[in-house]
Amino acid sequence: MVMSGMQNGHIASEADDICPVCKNSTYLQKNLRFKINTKCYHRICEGCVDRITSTQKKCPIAGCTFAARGVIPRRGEYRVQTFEDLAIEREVDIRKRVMAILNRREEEFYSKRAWDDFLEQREELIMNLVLKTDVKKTEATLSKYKEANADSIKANAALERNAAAQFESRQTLQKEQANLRRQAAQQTYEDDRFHTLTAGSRDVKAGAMEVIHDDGPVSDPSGLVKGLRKLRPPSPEKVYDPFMGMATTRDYYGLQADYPSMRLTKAKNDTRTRAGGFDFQAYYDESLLRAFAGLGCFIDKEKTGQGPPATRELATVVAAESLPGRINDEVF
Amino acid sequence: MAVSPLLPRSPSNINANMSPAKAKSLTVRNSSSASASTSGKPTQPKQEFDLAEKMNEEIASKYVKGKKLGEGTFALVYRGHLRSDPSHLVAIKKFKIPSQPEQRSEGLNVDSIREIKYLQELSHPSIVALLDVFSTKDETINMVIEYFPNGNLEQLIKDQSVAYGAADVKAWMGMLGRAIYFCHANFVLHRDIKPNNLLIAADGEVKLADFGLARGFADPYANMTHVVITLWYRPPELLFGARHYSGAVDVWSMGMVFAELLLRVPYAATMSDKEIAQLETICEAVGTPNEENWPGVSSLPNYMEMEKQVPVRGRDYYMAKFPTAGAQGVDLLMAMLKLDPNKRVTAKQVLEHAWWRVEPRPTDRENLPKQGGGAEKMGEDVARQPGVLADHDKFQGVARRLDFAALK
Repeated sequence: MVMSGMQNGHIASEADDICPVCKNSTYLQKNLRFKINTKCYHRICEGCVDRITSTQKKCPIAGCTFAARGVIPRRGEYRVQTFEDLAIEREVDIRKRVMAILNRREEEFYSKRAWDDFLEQREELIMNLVLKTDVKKTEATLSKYKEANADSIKANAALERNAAAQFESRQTLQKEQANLRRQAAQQTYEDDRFHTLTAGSRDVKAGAMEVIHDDGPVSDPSGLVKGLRKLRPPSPEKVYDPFMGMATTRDYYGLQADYPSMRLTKAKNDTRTRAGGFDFQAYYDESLLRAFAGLGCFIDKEKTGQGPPATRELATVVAAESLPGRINDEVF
Repeated sequence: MAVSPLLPRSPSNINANMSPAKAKSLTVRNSSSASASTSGKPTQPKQEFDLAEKMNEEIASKYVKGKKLGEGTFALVYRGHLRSDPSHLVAIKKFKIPSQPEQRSEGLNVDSIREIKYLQELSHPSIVALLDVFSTKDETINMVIEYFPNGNLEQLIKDQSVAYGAADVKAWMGMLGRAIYFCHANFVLHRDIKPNNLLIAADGEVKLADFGLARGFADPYANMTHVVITLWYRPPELLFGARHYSGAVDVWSMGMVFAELLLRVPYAATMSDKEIAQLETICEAVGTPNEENWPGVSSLPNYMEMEKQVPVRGRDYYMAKFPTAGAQGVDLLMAMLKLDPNKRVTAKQVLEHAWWRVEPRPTDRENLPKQGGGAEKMGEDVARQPGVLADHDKFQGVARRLDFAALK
C-alpha cells in the first residue's frame, strides 16, 4: 500500500529483525541496531554500516538503483531511523530539505492569496520529489531558486532559529516557574502578532523585516515565488536613554566646585553638616538657578557683547518686560 | 506667567484662558439667574459669590465623585470621573477634618499643604499628576489626581503570581530614577520613597506619589527634621539624627527599593519600630558605620557606637545576594547604599551609570507586568457608565479576522 516496492518491503517488526547483509537478527543479538541510508533508504545494521563505509563499497542491497549507478554511500549518510515507515521517513526528509530552501515567511507576502499560492507551489515541488515525477526539473528549479535567493534564505533561516530559540526559552521559563502571567503574555503576544499580520503592519517582535514601499507585489529574483513585499531589515533599536530627554545641565550657568562665601564658612566647617551629607553643590545650584532663571540672562553672551538672547520666546519675554509702564505683578 | 502651574493640567479646562474680567461677568450673570449652573448638580449658589468661590465651584462641578477606594489616617480616596467624559477616571483624595476641635484650630494639615504645593510644581511622566484642587462645603480640601487601576509596586512585589525579570526591574528603576532626579533637579526632597508610594499607571508607567513629607532643599543653617521616610527605607544619617542632609536620603531609599525589587522582600526590614533596631538591621545588611568609612559620623546628634560590628559588605556579598542584578547592577546598588551620604551617588549619577547600557535592555513600558484586571478591569468599570463604547475594539478585531475581501 505504501509504495512497498521502494524499500523491498522492509518494514521493521519486533520479532524477527534481520539485517539483509549479515543476516544477524535481533532474536539472536538483542542489542542489534539498524541505520538507514538517507539516499536510497535501505536499512542495514550498524556493524555493516561500519564495514561497508570503511571499505568503500556500494549499497549492499541487491537491486539498489544507487548502487547500480555506482554511488558510494559515506558514513555520514547513514542515520538512525525516526519513523517506522520508511516512506514517511523519506517524505519528511524531502520536506525538510525543500522547506529549508523555500523558507519564505507569511509577512513577506503582499496578500493572503499570494502566501497561499506559495504554499501550494511548495507542496507541489515536494510531492514531485516524493512521487519521483519530474525530479530533474524540480531539482533544477530548486537549485536555481537557492542561488538567486541566497541572502533571503539565510535571513529567514536566522529568523526561524530565532523564533525557535525564543519559543524554547519561553517554554523552559514556563515550566520552571509555572506561572500564569507569562502564559497570558504569550497569548497576548500571539494575538498581537496575528493582528499585526492581518493588519499588514510589521511584526515588531522577533526582529522581522520592515516594509519599505507598498507599491504592489514583486516576485523573487529567480521568478519562482510571486506576490512578495519589498522588505528591508528593521532599523536598529534606539539606545535606551535613562534621562529620557531630561536636561542634565543648566541653561544659564555652569557650576563651580566651590564658591567663596563668608556666610557659608561656618556651615562648611561644621562636621555635623558635612557628615549629614548636606550637599553644598545643590545649594549653590539652587541659589544660582533662583538668581538667574527668571531673568533670561545669558552671562556669557552679555560679557562678550553678543547682544540679546537668541531664543524667540525668551526674547518675547524680555521685550515685554522692557515695555515702559508695564506693571510686573510677579513677586519673586 | 501669572497663571498657576496647576491650571494647564486640569482636563477640559474651562477657565484656564479666561480673563478675570470675563470670569467676573460670568459670576454676576450666574448669580442673577439663580440656577444657571452648567452641571446637573443641585447647587444653590449664594447670592454673593466672589471670584475664588466661583472658580472653586466650577472646578468641583467638573468631577463626579464615585465609590470609596481607600481610607488613610488623614485622607479618604474616592474614585471619580469627569462629568463631561465618564470614561476619564480620576482619583479624588479628600483630606479629613481633624476630629478634635483643638486640632481643627490649627488649620489645614501640613501634609496636605506640602503635597499640593509640590505636586503643583512638578510635572513629569514619572510623577503623579495633580489635575485639580477644590474645596467642598465641609471645608475640606480635595485633590484630583490620576486614576491608578493597577495598585502600587509593593502589591506587585508581594503578589507571588506575578513574575518579573531583570529587564522589568531596570525599567521600573529607570522611572523611579527619573522621578527622583527630576525632584532633585527642582530642589525638592521627596523623603518618603518606598514601593508603596510607587503607583502603577494604566499604561505600565510607575509614578512617584505621596509628597506629604516632601520639602525643598534647605539653607545650611536651617534645621530639617530627621523623622522622615518610612523606617525600613530610612538612611543611616537620618537614624543618627542629622539635621542637614540632601538628596542622598532619597537615593538610599531608592537603593532599598532596588534591592527589594530584586529580592521580592524588603532588604532592611525591622520588626521593631525603634530606630536603634533599624540601625542594627542596616549594620547587618550593609555594614557598621564608623569614623573610618564615614568621616564625622560620630559628631551626629544621635550617634551611638554600635554593638554589632560588621565590615562594610563587599562586592562578593552583593553578588551572592543579588545574582540577578549582574555585575553592573550590583555596582550601582552598592553605590546607592553607601553609608556615608557624601560618597553616595546622586540621582543624576544613578542615571548616568553604565548599568542602563548593558544587557538586558529595560522592558518597554507597555510590556511591563501589571497585576489585577489592568485596563480591562478599568474598561468594565467604565462600561457601566452611560454613553461609553467599551467593546468598540473587541468587535473590530473579529471583523478583521473574517475579512474575505483580501482573498479576491
